[in-house]
Amino acid sequence: MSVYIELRRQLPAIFGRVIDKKSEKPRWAMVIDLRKCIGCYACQASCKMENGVPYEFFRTHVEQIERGRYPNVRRAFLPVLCNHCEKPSCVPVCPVGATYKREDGIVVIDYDRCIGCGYCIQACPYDARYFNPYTRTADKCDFCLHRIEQGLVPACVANCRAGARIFGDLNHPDSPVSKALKEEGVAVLKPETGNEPHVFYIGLEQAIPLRGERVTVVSPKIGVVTYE
Amino acid sequence: MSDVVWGTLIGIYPFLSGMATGSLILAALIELLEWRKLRELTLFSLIISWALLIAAVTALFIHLGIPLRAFYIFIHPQLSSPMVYGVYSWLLLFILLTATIVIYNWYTDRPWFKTASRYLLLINMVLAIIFSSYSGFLFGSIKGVELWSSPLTPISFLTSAVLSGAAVVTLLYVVVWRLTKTSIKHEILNTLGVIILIVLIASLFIQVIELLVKAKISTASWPATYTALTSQLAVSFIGLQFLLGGVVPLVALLLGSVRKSDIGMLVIALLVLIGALAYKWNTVIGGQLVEEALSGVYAVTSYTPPLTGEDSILWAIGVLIWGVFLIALGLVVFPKWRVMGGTEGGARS
Repeated sequence: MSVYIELRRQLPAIFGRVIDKKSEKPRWAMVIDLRKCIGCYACQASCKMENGVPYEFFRTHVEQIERGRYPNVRRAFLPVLCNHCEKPSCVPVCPVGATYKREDGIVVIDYDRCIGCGYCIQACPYDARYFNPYTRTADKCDFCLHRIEQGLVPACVANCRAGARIFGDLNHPDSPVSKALKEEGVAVLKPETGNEPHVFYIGLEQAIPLRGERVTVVSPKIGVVTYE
Repeated sequence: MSDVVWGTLIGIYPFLSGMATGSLILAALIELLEWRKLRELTLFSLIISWALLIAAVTALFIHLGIPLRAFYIFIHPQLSSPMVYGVYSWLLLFILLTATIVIYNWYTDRPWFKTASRYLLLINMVLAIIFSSYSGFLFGSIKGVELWSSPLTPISFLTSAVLSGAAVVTLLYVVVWRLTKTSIKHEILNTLGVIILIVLIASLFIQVIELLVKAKISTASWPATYTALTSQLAVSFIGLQFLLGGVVPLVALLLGSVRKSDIGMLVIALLVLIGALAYKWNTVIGGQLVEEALSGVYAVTSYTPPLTGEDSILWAIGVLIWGVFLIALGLVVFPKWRVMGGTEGGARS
């Protein structure tokens, strides 16, 4: 019986479902290892289920990128979500302060204050926001704040079959994200925006096509696009 | 999937606010620069501006996800947002413009009238410039949307505003004067024609320069933007914005005889307004047609405005009718426009 209790206690941690190593003042961040992503879309589906995201919208989605010509073809998957930037473009444009960055770095929306003007949706250079036709407000990923408050990792991390998504506290030196940042070379999307995203990628170069390269992208945002 | 968040109502908003601020700037210039030929139109232009300011903000209000929370901008303003300054400048402009119209309508015989009206018009004009540039700034300051992100956008919006303001005053001058069976002065039409011609040249020049610079810089998203403008928006961009609303009135206005003809100026004003509407539509909607995948690939989507339902053509038509109704109401409530400029009672034909 005690083994069973111990297993029940340890298993979520073993499978990465509870937040491991958290500091007094956490700064939440995510690392996505594109070398491990298998394109199963479990993150996309679990996010929708966890957060009740309407059918045609996404808080996180996966882009499929096919590069090159036969026989030299490579396929990569690029999971994208709100980058919870250090200097978010969406926050200062909100006319009523409904979207703001918390002390722990998570950019959230106060749904009771949002007027639904759509300015933040236009301002986000990562296209991470959408207008929710049911709540009549802007909506986006909040790192599953309700789960974090219970000590659990976001749904997309908990459900990642390949362990490609790593979540944790950047302020704790031994947290999984801090370790990943130390041990691996990471990159962010669109660094030129100056937003300082806090979603980091390992192996991002395999998902970004070179200029002039043949590429096909499949994304729920843009459909299927091929550049010859 | 199209991701157009700012649809039909935001598409017509800068058009309405442009006409409102443009007609106000015209009225202010008439008085401040003492264009005696056009003094007949001062109060008339102010009333048009007043009505269209209300119609413009109505379009914004209806577009909000939760319109009843609009007042949050006054109780929870975030001063880093350009939208807050837009709303506050609108409110201040509306209050001062109403005060100016009241003074012009009922207090022209007071000794302080001339000084007070001049100062008020000067402040109104500055606020109108700020308000019309603000719309351009709101779009121009957004990163990553090729058609919006430009320091020239506020200037282009301001020029287009003055152009559409002069055009709407010309259009309504012919229509209202005809409806009230008052003789139309060809001298006024000719002067308005010259003003429209000069501003039209400036407006087209800025728009073309802006596009040429974008094409020359040719950022990663430019090919997709170019495709959007020349395929999905080809009719409204090439056909309406540049040809019908730009080149045709430009050539026609060069002919002196057209500038003195009622029908000629009526048609030209209408074409210029169509061009201004197309410009705002192409900018607002066109910018949103270019979608970017985060892997750095761009795609062009399409947008067909819904006929009914929220953010639909029906709502846009409703707002335009609301604007026409407010103009009519303003002309009835402030009747002094008929006797301005020494044409007491109007020269009945």
